[in-house]
Amino acid sequence: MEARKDFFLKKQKRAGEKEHWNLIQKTNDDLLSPMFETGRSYYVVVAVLSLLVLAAAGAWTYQIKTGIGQSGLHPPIFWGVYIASFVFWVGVSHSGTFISGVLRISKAEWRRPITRIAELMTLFSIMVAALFIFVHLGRVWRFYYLIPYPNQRQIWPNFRSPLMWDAAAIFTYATSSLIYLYLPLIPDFALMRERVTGWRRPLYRVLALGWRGTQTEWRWLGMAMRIITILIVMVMISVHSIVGFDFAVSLVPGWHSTIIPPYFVVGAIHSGMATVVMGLYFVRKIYRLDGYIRLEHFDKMGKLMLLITLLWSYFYFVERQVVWYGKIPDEMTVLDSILYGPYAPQHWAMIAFNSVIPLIALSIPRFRRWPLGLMIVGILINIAMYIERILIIVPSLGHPRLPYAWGRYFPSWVELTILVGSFSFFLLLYVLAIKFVPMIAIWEEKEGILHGRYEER
Amino acid sequence: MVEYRDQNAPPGGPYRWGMVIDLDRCTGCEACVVACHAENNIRISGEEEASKGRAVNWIRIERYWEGEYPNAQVKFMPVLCQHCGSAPCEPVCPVYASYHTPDGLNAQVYNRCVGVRYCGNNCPYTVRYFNWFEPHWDEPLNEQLNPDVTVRSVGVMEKCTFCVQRIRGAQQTAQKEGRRVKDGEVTPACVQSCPTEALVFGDRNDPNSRVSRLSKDDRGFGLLEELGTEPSITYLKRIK
Amino acid sequence: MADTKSAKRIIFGLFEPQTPLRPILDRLQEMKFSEESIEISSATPILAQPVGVGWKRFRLVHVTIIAGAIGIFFGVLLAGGTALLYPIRTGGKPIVSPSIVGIISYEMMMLFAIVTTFITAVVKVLRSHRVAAEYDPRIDEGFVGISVLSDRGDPRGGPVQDLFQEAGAVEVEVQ
Repeated sequence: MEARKDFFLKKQKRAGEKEHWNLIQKTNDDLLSPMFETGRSYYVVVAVLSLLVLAAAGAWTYQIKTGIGQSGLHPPIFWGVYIASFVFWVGVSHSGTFISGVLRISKAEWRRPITRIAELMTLFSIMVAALFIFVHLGRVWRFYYLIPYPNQRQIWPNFRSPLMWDAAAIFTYATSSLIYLYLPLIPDFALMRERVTGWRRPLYRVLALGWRGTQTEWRWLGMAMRIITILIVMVMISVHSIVGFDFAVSLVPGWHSTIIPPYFVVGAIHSGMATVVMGLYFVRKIYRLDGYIRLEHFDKMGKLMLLITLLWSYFYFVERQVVWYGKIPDEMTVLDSILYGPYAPQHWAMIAFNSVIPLIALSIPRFRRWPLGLMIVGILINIAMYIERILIIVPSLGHPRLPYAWGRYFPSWVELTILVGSFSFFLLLYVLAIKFVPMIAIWEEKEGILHGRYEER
Repeated sequence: MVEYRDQNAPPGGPYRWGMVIDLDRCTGCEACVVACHAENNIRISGEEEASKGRAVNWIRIERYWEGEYPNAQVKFMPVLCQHCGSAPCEPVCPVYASYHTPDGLNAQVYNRCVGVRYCGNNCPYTVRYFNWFEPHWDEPLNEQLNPDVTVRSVGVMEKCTFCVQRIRGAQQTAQKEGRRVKDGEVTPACVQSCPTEALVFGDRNDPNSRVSRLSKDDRGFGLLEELGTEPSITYLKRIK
Repeated sequence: MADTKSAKRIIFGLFEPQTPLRPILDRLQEMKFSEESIEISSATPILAQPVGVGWKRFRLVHVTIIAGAIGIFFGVLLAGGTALLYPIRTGGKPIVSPSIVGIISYEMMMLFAIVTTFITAVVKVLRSHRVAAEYDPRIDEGFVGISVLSDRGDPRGGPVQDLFQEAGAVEVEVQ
């Protein structure tokens, strides 16, 4: 016990060495600077994104006013872009929990500059995803019928419906990802509380919970973080499995498959990692954080992405192979329309973007140390993952068992506006967050300095 | 584990409403479709909506061709809600808008529906129709709405009810007189209007009803019955 | 919050990072200050075994487990119990089925466990504040603060201040 005490005191001594002390000061200044320096282009970006969000809000209002028929949906395709977007955004939300959670559990030192960027993504994308549930409802003004609370209407939700499992999972996940983002922010709020002026100061004062940096506080924080990290990774796996259940437990040919839930989890992590790489690239580029988000981080992200690409390709192959070999007519019509039929161009683009290009590119060590390249791969993967969600939903629904009812689907302008608006909303929240929280956890970065990361370099 | 109790169960056990459709008799005249529209306040879709595939027909005549012109043979198949005993649409509804009545109907509670449309996806027969807009009727059709049937608002799912308003009317009469509903006492609009009597409706729990007898015919099959949906409708078709 | 009128006071010394803390802590222990009355403030966690209040016999993970168990119970009531109270037949599915109750209970277990763990940690953080001095912004730059809690009339107050000065404190403050 005493020896351990001394070991950790040594860490404190290291902080006293001039080099480290300077680094700590520099870390404070560097990581806080994005919050204080606001250029003109920032306002332009916020204005443009706000306009796009407003356009989407207008389109949604129009849809509520006139009816959900403003979408391109019709029997037999009752779900379209809205549900695809919901699944997509839930997928993106796996970025934070997977990256930050798994890396925290494994105590990977290189996680430090990545966790905050990823956790913010989790929170914002799960918010956007939850919004799509409401956009999708035929009578959104009756959404409270889905909430289990005692009422006079004698209405109670049906927990046998996968959609209720979904609601429970999304609620749990959104709540815990907010907590998971907030916990490691507390020391940073305390730091900022002393350094900001104006309206942000009282806000941080509340959010910092009177943090004083005592060892007791650190201990509680550390304990809570360790426990919640493990739990939230378990929640993450369940959330996308349950989104997968929405499809897998139905009778629709092309959906009814046991591999769908795990396949969804892998796909979600795939798009989540891709989004994190994009975020890393832009945060580093715009705020010149090259000293914090370094090439080694891109290299390691690239390796993880390679692993997930392989996993995704494997799951995808298994799913298609089983259907193709089994040759059940109902399933085959769906598969044929994807492989050779009207959906073939999208499908093969998806295979290229999601599997072939990332596999080749990420296998090259020099490519993984090229941030721009990784960012482009990230964009390709995200495009492909969106196509994948559409390809799961539309061709399957478009080919029900009675051929008389077959149909095609193309989204209407309302759906497309809301889709663009959802991306803008996500970006807008993110851009606004840059002025509100440090993009890299300052105390974790400082802890990294004391762990001797800089000496190893 | 828990049995559903039906307080209004008639003497001799509950009903199980069902239908028999004789495809060998069907001429594809679509009288049933028209009758259903008139009886059930089905909204007018209009040309534009219908071209988008949003026309509402609780009962529709599916046409299939065999062979090439001029030797083409057209086959007709009326498809309506099969009122499955084990309906895929029911458990997926998060608000119990779709549920199973004790007399074997697959009911849709419009007031409860919030429009998630999962039921529509999970119905293998694609017989669920959605109200994409507020319903409307061209003049003077708005004057002839059936007062016994709800007009469905925008954003809710609807489908064939086996003309539940007629069933309930007959049931109440029978209950007052302390007897079961007699065979042939209830006829949904489509059955009533079928000129070739291809459609027959009745109680499957009554072994002597026409439906029970006809459904034992060796021509009988259930549509997509291999899915385990236990449809209440038996189709009859002679195999050549 | 350190109130000047209260019977307790906090002696706070702020040290440069390179100051060896070990001798100071040893001296404080020699002066018979209990572990509960000494706090060290720093920008990152530096001690695996802190000198501080109230964490000793308390394991956060027990709270998590109990909350998780309550969550399971709640989930069973929510998915199974309410279905029994409201038995509506849908699609040949049983009114209560173990897999569905399991899914809902799993989510509720996680929700309860995470939220309760979070709230407990927050409460513990807030309650630990009576020992430590107010936050000094210099701590963020690597400085280390030592707070000692004692009665207002404690004769050891003077020696502690002297000790801090001798050890090279940048600032000594009594709150």
